[in-house]
Amino acid sequence: MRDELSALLEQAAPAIVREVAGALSQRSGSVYRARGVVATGRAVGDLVAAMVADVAAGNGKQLRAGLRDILSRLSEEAISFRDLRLVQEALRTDLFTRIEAADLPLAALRAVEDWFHELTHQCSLYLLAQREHLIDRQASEIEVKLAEQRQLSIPIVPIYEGVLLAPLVGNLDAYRAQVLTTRVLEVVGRSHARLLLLDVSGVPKVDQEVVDHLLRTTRAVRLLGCQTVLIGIAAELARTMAGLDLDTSELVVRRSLQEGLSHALATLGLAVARR
Amino acid sequence: MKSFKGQYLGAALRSFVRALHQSEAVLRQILRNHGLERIDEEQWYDLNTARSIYYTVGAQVGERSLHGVGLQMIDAAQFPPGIDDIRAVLQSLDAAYRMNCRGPEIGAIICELEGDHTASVTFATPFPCALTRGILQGCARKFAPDALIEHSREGCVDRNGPSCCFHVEW
Repeated sequence: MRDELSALLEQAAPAIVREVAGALSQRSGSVYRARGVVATGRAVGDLVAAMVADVAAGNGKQLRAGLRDILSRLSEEAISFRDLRLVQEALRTDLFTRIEAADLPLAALRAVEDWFHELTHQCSLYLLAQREHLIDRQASEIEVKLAEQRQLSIPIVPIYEGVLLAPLVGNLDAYRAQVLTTRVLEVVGRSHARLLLLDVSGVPKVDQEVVDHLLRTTRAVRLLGCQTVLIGIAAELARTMAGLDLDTSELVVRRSLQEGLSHALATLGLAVARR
Repeated sequence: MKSFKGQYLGAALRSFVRALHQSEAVLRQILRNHGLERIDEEQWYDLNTARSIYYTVGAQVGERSLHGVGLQMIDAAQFPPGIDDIRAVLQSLDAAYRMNCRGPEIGAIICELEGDHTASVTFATPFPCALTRGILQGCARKFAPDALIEHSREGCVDRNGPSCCFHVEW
């Protein structure tokens, strides 16, 4: 049976390639139409050659080894599910018509069916791998960008000689709190500031770890000769801090940025006077 | 975090530097938090430092990036002669792991070939799931670019399980 089938496939191969490639290159919106009948013919020819070899050998070795290259040559971008379905359908329809017309035994149909099963399997793996690769790459890029943004979104600006303002906006997670500590120590150390106004009015929610970071930052900043003034503590943050049984006696707290500024000026022995 | 006795080779640890190369700031932050300025490829580091770096990448950057660290580790790796197909590379994973990690509590990687084109690989190692999945995918992709890796439903080290088991199909 296998010899008979192989002979049929080898003899019919040029016609199969011509007819399948011709039909595929007419399909609107497909990679086959985009690449044209010659490139499509090459891809279909390679597939048919793999099928002839695999059916003769009784395995799917050529298909496994070559499918990815065949598809890559056809398109640099990943082939879509529809394109994969179209080529499978076109090949299957053409081949089974010929096998039935040649009145080959059921075993011949089975051998070709096995090959198509392998083709479907390999196309599925190809498609899944392509999608997974794309998602991994995109998600990884987004993750890194977000991590960078979390670092950059903590501005620390000098508002007067010796006075720094760090307005925190958005959720403060443990990572961002850690970044804050590092950034604050860097800037305070470099600028020799005497006062740091840490405005947390834009922070809606914090947890114990974050409060701990804030307190540690305050202590570390003091070692650099700078006082931290916590500004605009929201009700939830106050509740979290009160519930933690932490020693907050060393904290200088002001309700608003305006009060914080007044405190800073007073500490520096300055006052705002109307002209 | 639980502590493990062992050491980890800088050459493998440097994969995280390569994987995060597009973000100097994030990279520097993670290194600094671990008391490191750079990673020396020939130096052996405390296993817990290496673990902590990987877990930090997962927690502070994200799991996809940690998966990318695993892929990067294999991208840069040289395979010895004889390791020229996916079956061979999967079976050599444990030996390769032992060349990069040493000590009494480093665990093991067990590979079971199930069929001509399927295998189960169990990572009973103290490293995060996303990293090991990346390493496995990197190995598989070297010789079977469309290999599919699926995490078994039975346990995961990230959820305090003893190991992560992956089914590989190519």
